[in-house]
Amino acid sequence: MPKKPLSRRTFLRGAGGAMVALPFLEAMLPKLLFAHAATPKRFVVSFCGTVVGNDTLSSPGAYGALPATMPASWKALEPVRQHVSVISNMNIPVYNSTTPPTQPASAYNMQHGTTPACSLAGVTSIEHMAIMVKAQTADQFAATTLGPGSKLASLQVRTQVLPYTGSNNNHHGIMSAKLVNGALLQLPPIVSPAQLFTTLFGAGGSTPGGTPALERQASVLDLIASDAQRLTSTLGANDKARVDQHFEEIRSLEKSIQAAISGGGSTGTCGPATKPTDPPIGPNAFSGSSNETLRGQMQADMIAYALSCDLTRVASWMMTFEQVQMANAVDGLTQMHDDSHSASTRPVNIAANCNWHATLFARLVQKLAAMPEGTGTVLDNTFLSLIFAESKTAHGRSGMRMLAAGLPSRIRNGQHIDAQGLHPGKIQLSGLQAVGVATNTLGELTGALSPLMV
Amino acid sequence: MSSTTLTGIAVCVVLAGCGNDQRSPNELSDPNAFGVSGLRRLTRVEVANSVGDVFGVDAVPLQAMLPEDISGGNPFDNNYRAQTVSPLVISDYSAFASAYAAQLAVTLELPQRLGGCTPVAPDDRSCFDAIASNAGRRMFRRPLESAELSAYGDAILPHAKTAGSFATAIEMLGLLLVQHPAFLYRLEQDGDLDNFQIATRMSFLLWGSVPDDELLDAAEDAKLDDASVRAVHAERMLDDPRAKRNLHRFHELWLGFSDAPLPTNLAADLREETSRLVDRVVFEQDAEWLSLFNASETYVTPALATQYGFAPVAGPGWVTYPAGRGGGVLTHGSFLSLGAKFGDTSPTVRGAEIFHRLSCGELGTIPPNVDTDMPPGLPTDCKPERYSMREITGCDQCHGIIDNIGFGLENFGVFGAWRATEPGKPQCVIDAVGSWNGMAFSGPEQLGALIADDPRVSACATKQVFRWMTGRDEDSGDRNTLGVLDAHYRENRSLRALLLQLVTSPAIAYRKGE
Repeated sequence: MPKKPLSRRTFLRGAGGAMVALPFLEAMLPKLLFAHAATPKRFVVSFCGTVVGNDTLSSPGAYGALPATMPASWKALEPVRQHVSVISNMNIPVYNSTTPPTQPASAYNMQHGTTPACSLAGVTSIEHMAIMVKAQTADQFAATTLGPGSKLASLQVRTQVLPYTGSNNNHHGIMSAKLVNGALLQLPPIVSPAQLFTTLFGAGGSTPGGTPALERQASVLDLIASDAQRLTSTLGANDKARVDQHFEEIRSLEKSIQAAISGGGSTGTCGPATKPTDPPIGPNAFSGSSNETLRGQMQADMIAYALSCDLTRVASWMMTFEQVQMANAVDGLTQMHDDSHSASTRPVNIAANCNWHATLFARLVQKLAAMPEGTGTVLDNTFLSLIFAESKTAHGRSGMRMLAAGLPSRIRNGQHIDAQGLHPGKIQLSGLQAVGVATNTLGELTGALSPLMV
Repeated sequence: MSSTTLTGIAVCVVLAGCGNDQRSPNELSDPNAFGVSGLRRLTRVEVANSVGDVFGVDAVPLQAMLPEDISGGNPFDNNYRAQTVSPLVISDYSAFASAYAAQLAVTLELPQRLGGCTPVAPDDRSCFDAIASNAGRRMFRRPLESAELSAYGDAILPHAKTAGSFATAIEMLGLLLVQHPAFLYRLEQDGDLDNFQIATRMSFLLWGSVPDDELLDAAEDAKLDDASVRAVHAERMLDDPRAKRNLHRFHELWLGFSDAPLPTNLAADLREETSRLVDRVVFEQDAEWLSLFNASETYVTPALATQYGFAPVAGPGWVTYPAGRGGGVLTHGSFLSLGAKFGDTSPTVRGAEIFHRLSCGELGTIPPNVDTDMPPGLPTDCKPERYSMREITGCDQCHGIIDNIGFGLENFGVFGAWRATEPGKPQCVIDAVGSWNGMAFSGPEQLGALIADDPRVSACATKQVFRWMTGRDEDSGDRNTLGVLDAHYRENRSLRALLLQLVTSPAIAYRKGE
């Protein structure tokens, strides 16, 4: 039998001998015991680009415990209502060119794409933003604290494939942004379920090669990383910093693969066994669709695995674009955005559209609740939220209604919560505090949403 | 609220020609002429082009696995200031490299093609070195150092021996080269560039891909310091199909239809129509570049002829436009599709796209009380009544410019189908009267003539080349160069000549750091 090759890093580690080797007992303990000892917290924020519908459709009734029978917009939450809270009565202050913003995290009135900056980053939006978020979003603050140690510091996923506007001038398909060296970088999401699988789980359990393939990949990454000095020695400071960052990320990826090979991590050893096949992509026309229901289900399942397998601890999940022009969830004949403007004539559509998002959210919650971790479940250590771009009516910024779930030790679950007119950006701030990010501010906002916190 | 009721005032300006000093073209002889430059990472398309060119295995089907390119505001996908590095970006490169390398491993002729050898053992060092040095030289755009070559062989070949297959060595070499920063980044030091860096700039400008062996040989012989040698290579490269591929991409991005939602049954025909015109104007005839907008013939398939309402054609080929309907790209369904909104054409959107892309004009912000999501006016009215914003004081400042462009092309449906009346409204006869820069026109042929002759358009077109070449937006320091480029262009009005001017400028051999 030929000798199994070692990567250069593995070899160097071995050459270090007892000095760098792990203590015997710790190295031999089963992986699960480590997981129990240091269970990570997770942060998930999801986004819907339309309305929740009027009170008849979306109010769960009196504040307090959620009823067994949920209103039409939240029907899908019934099986998981003990894990989820509906937060009502939130307001985003508005301004326009004649009334400049005077309150924190205000939205430019009437226009689409201006509430996500407020709700996700806690900052005032800028009129007609080419991108929606003009400051670092909450998920990236979470990633700074929670990211180290997992394969991906954060994960960005989007379900709606195309803008379905008939043109490509819609930039409302990115919900995460990160500040790097003073520059705000948009973080484009993965849309394809197949690519999401590859990114998270590599070749997957069903791919021939298995561990040898991982070893070859790790060996190559190690080889590349060893070229860093040679490559950057003649570069100017700015260029060198960027290439160094690239090498740093390569080392992180290699490290996670090495951990998987040695059994200390999860890449390639934890996750679904079969790579999904992407449903066909439909035309980019109004009321278009690309079987987003199936795509969203696949994504929910993979996000659950990614969190459970500790491939990432932070995820942003954009279910639909802001100003979602996708086919409605009833018969596909109208678009969700047009439905939102037709409150009096299309209440069934409005509720179904909202519930379509709630269904995907509930699926993720249910998956996490079914994944054991320590003496509880992964959901016990995960904060989730579903943020809506608009309130009960089209372009509405007052009386907003959103969802939070999980992490019951810090977050109130199973409740209809009165937010007392506070800002929806505080949901994210509450989530950050709940997962252990030491902050009392998010953008221009200060203080958590106390009615949501335990 | 409908956009017919807007009350705010927006400002529209045309910036293309503003402040472009008309200096002597000789100013391109300044090594600083291309302005500042930062670190550039290859775009998705450049990565796919490059690996396909080097390994001979098509990467386009896997291209979507690569990190998404983020537009930095201009029409192009290569703005280095918008490029980011994150775990996800690295993971995407890794996933792409894995998928592509797996294809290389099963390409049996690859050792012979790239190394001129047939491996005699799974860990055949000599064959591996031959392949690695040839492929590595192309991918890294420089010869591999002996230390690199030896480190790669030392690390990779034991895996091949274990696996019992030389294909493993090929796969790992592919994994290495495809995701290596020496491939993904165009690494340059400030000041004078070496010959390999010059070759890289030339090849990405002209091909959107890595240099070929001939250009690298010239670099290795230090011949690319000589502008006349660069010109010879540039002429050769412009005659290569890779130049067509690259300039098709440039025009798709500039004109905005690179990922336009074209109808499935016509998409290929529509794209080919525009590509054929670019080929004819730029490559076959080396004609006036802006004749793209007033061509008298167009290339159609039978399906496209039907779509446009032309006389039936037996097969693909050039046809002369019916009287008054010429206008090159302005009549192409690919480009016209940008003006779609509310299930039909929007004179506002179509006019704004033309104004913005062809004259580099900029529009003010939309007033806050305007809901652009709702169709304007009453659905039963004809379009001139519905789109009445150009008649309203305040609104007319922008709409007077852009709507008047769009209305002049109203005879074209979303994908270029000709119509005399508005869809479903036979009572609404289209008059196709518009204005461009204050000059009245009727229909695409007259608009095309105005555009092709407009100095604002030539200044804008050359600015787009500058943005594409430098991978960034222009800034105040580039004003003189933009003026010089425009002046160069207007001397002979040839894109090919303009590209040659860029390649022979000393600035292509010099880097001014940010």
